[in-house]
Amino acid sequence: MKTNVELNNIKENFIVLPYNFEQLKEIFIAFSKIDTNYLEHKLDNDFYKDYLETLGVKTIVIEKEYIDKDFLNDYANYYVKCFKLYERFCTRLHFFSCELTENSFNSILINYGELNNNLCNLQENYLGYIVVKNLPQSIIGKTCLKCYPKDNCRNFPATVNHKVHLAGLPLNIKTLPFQEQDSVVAACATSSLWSMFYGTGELFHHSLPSPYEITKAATQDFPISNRAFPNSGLTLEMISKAISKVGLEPLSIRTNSPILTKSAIYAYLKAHLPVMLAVTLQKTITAEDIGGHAVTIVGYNLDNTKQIDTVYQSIPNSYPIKLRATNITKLYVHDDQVGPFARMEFGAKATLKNFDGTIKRNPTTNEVETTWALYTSFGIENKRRSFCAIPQAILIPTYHKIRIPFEAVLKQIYEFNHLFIGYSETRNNEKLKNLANNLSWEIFLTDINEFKYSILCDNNLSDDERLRISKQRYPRFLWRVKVYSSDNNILDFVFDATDIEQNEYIIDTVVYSNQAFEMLKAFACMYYENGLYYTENKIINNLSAQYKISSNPLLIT
Amino acid sequence: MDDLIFEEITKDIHLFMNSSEKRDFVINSSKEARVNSQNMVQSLQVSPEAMKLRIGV
Repeated sequence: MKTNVELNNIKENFIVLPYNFEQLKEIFIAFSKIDTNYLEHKLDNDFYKDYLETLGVKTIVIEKEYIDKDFLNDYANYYVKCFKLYERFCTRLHFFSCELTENSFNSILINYGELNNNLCNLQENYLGYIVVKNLPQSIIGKTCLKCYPKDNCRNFPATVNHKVHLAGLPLNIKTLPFQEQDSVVAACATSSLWSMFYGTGELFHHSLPSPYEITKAATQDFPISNRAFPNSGLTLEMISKAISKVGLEPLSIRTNSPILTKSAIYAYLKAHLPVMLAVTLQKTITAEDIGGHAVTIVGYNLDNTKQIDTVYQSIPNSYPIKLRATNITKLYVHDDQVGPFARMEFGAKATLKNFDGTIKRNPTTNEVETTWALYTSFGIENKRRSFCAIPQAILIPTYHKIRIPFEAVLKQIYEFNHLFIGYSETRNNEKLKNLANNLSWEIFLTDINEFKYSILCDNNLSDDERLRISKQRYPRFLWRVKVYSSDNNILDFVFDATDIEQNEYIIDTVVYSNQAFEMLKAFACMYYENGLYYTENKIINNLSAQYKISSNPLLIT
Repeated sequence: MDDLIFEEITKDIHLFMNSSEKRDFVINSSKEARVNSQNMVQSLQVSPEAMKLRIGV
């Protein structure tokens, strides 16, 4: 193992070393201004140790005197103006899951033109990189690491293909860049925005501002009581401003209900949009509120085979609705206090507080009132459940053409579901009641290319339906609502996400079960009589219009 | 098996459509669905006070 002193004495620009966590610590000390004790404290929660072990890191290739674009920008705007001389060069650490030596690495460089096999192996074994900034504490710069292995439950829709060049060798990694806050030009909100913009930049081709530029854009139009730099945080208004400065539209959704929160996160993540989650951190034992924090949601853990046990009711005793995103148990987030792809788990409870900060109690029972929260990986001494996060809002940076928001689509679904269950309650038919109570809904945003591709690959559709849809014209952005009857997908409603809310913006139905489709059309027709609709629900209107086209007119009174 | 259930329910719907209870049912259920859904949408709105929450830990 090489000590930090030995590392500093190596003159080569690239150093190849076998990986172990102690070696990584020595590298951090060698190429930054961090103190050994502070580093021990920083890495105490074992997040990076566990994460790199899970990835199976075997080799580190150190790239010295690396120029990181974002840090250089922050350096030029802030650090260079300090009296103390800070270093503008960073160090980049590349991780591989294969064993490499100095000689084998040199051999790859020498023989690259002739032996492409070597590069294929290198690409398969490439796990990403961490940029080390030459600062006293916030040393983790741009970090692009491979995510946890994907399985049936674990999904990372908000990752992008990121190109890397190592000594001229072209590599790529599917990830979303992460970096910790430096508490100077960026607090957690800025770091979260910075990560999010890498995802949206890939989708919508906008500029990628550095942390300094994000904080400046967020704060310049607001009268603030505290200075913008060094930055102590941003309000949700300022975050929205920063989103609009890159040409996107900020959309905020309150997170009172865990089921609706999961559904909204799922809906936008499926369209590869990273979502910001704003929380209040609270110590689980003492119920002390620490403050507002922001993370970027990159993925989720959803078991689609599980029964949906929990339902949403807008008011107590109202008809419930089953949303398929309810079975999300974890979120994978970029948490700048923890690391990339940190887990946040549903199921925690946090203590509610009064306006004066005292604990809120039920006036009748005197029991402490609680609210739903998430367990975090945030904490000291590896006590993973020391802190919980009380969600306050989610923020989604949407493209201007995505005009129909999630709640507008959810409203139509909720109403239709309500009407159908209500109908089942009036009839003395157990099969109908069972069907109505086991309808479940999956709502997500998509685009025309992904929609058509999924149709082409869908063997559950008839050949005619696949052909019809693949040749149909659609807008660029679509809301797709999948309807399930006891886990069987019977129908999809396709909404035009670029339309205006006052229009009838359901533009197609994807039929998996003809009989179910006929049933729902007949049901919808109940709400139409003599040229009048009894409801403004767009699903009812669309289905009844389709019924009128296809059915025998003698059946309609 | 599901197709038989859907067919049976479709026939039931046609019977109900021709009944005298239908009109009252559709009027009342539409009102209730609209009120409940509006309640749900309102619960998703972020308050102006919450927009001023400072995020900086």
